[in-house]
Amino acid sequence: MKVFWFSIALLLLLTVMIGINCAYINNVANRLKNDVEALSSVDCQAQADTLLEYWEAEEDWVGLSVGYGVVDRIKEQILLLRNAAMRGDEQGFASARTLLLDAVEDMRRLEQFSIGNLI
Amino acid sequence: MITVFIRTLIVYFVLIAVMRLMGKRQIGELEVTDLVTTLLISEIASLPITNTDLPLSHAVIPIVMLLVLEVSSSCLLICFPKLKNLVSARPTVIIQEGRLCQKALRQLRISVEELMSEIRQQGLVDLSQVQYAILEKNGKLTVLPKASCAPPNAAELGLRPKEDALMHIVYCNDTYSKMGLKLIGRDQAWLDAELDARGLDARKLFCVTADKDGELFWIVKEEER
Repeated sequence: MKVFWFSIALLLLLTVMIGINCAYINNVANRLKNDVEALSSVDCQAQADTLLEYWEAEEDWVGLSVGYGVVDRIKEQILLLRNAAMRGDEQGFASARTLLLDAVEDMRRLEQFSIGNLI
Repeated sequence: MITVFIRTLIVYFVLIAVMRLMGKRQIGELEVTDLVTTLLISEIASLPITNTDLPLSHAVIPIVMLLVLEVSSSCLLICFPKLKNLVSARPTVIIQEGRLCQKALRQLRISVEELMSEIRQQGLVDLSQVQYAILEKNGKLTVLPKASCAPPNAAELGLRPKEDALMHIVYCNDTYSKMGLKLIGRDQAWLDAELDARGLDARKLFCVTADKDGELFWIVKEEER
């Protein structure tokens, strides 16, 4: 029975860790979404740099539970956004912004409890 | 490549820990749940090794969950035996007192040819030699031959052989086994005295086994022969 109680303790620990991770991922996703939505025009290079710095600080932790494909996509779109801002490319900026928001939602997807995710 | 290398190491040690915690029943696959868990674990464990896009947690978490589910279900089945009927089948008698149960064969979807094959593997040549054949929960067939077809045992021959005591390793690879000596109720001093009495040097022996009656069996090292 020792193994039974040990496995129950492990289950509780796992549940707590998953809960914390879920809250963390959602927090990062909300922050990214808010920051990206606040970038309304192409004259926002400083904000884009700040966004990149924030993501670079968080991506290793996010990568513990989110697939490399999604993490890489987010970084890619942030870089494209920043480059578009540097060049003053409005179309490129709008495209990168949309794709970045989509990638952020993808990152959040596995941390949401929904029937769509389960099936 | 280094990622694959390190992930393989981590998954390997996680699997060993999990299988160790699940216990011998997992290796023996006594129940359907054990088989299912083993299959799932093997599939899940290989995913992050071959697919570096997946985080390691996508293997470790499911494996730990399977451990929890497996241990919990086996404990619940012990505490509530009636639940066993839900998750595992009962043994089915296929041959009862020499008579083939055709209904059981149909229910199990086993053909006579398959049954004959299993019986032959047990050393018998025909259904008529079988007293009982039982398909166990783990899918193995237990065959008990008729008394006339079974080799006689010592009691039937009127013999009274001495009961064999279990031999334990008491010395191996130049090391005394404290566990083995404890199991036979002896100590290192006794073993040394016994080896001396037989003119043996422990350093020249590869392995020594003994039972609680003091019987010894030894193997000499190859280079000493």
